[in-house]
Amino acid sequence: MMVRQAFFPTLVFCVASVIAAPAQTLQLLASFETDGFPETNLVQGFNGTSTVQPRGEGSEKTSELSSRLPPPASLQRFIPSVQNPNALTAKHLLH
Amino acid sequence: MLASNLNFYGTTAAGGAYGYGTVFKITSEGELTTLYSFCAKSGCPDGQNPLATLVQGTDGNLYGTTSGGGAIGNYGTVFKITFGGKLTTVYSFCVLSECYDGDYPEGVLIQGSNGNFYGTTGEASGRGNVFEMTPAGVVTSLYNFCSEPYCDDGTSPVAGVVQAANGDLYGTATGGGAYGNDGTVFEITPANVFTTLYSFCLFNCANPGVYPRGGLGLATDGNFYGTVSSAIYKITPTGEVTWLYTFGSGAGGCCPDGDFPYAGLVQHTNGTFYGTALEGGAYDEGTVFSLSTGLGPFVTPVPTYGKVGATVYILGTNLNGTTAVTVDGVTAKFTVESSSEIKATVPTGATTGVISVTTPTTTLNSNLVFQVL
Repeated sequence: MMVRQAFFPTLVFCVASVIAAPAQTLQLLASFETDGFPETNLVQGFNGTSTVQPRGEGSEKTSELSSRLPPPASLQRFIPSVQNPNALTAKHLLH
Repeated sequence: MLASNLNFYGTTAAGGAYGYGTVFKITSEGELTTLYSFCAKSGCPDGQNPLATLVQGTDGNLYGTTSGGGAIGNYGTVFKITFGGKLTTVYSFCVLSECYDGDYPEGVLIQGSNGNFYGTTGEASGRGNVFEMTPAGVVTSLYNFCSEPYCDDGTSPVAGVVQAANGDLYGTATGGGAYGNDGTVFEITPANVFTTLYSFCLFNCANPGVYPRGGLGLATDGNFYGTVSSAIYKITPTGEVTWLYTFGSGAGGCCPDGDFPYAGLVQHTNGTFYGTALEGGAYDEGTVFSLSTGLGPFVTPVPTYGKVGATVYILGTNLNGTTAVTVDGVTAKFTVESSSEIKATVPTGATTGVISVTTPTTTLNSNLVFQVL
């Protein structure tokens, strides 16, 4: 386990919490196309979004998943990596 | 994790200046700072490969674990680090024979209501334990798993523990249990009485999932919510399990909605649970999902403690127009920073208790007790 994770880079993203759902209903917010395989939990941010620090394959980066904040133009390339209703936005590219 | 300065802090298992992981800070705008790189010295006495996130202690420092390294050998550590990046190794595991004090911690720490820290170890050893650590770094093993025949009490509690209002610790063991190696949910009282609340069971019991790698989330209804290999469950403090959702059970087969939701769940202040699935989804690289169970909104303080006069940020939803904030019934001064954030001051005379926020439409209570230092 430790060896495997040692080769798994880390990313961070946020997911907006704006979608209301009926009682006891699971709602798919996003599917990763690249840089996925999230292994860790989410934490709520002060701006109403939820942030997670998953460990995924692919380039090491931090990113944001949000339907509230438009992504910076330089980070648009990460948007196709998820499906709507929310969009993945890279927050910080480490490499 | 979101710290009291409203920056996020986390760890990377690898990378950094020496390749053995880092502690980093990232702002909500995405500005990242590497605070510390592990393993500057041979043998990594400061630790290596931190696998869990951090927790902020009541002293303001951040506390975490490394899965390897340390002063004793490659058995892992507990460390604390300041916002400025000064790291101190608080404890190196495997001081005792056969690492009875623990080894290879992977889970997040919590700071209990008594000020001590609690965590779990034991992925690599195949047994694991729950340990208590004083702020001074004195570690006591509260329970060593696989103490029962066939490990009926569970093994490998990798996810850490949570503390309920009654002071009891609750957690999951990834393996072991009464039905083979499918995992358990356990409870430890302050008097150190260990109870297996539930043993997961796939083949003989038709549970929709097993192997609870993710920890438990204590929700506002007093129950715990968690994930197993392909399902979401609720468990009461007495061990009654309700299966809430099975991944891959829809018309799309396995698993457009996700699979292996290892990370557990977190309850947002809107009352809804959020989680991630390691695999599945449209591209089989995992998903982000939410699960609404009908629980109502609440507020949560950041940090969860403070002295009189200290600033506390209160997270919530639809907070515009708030007319009152109280700490254990004592009125506090506050400003509404946004619809999801209030900045308040711990009032004179306040004691440890629930924070309440009165909005134009309702009164929201905090999901945990705010500790007045």
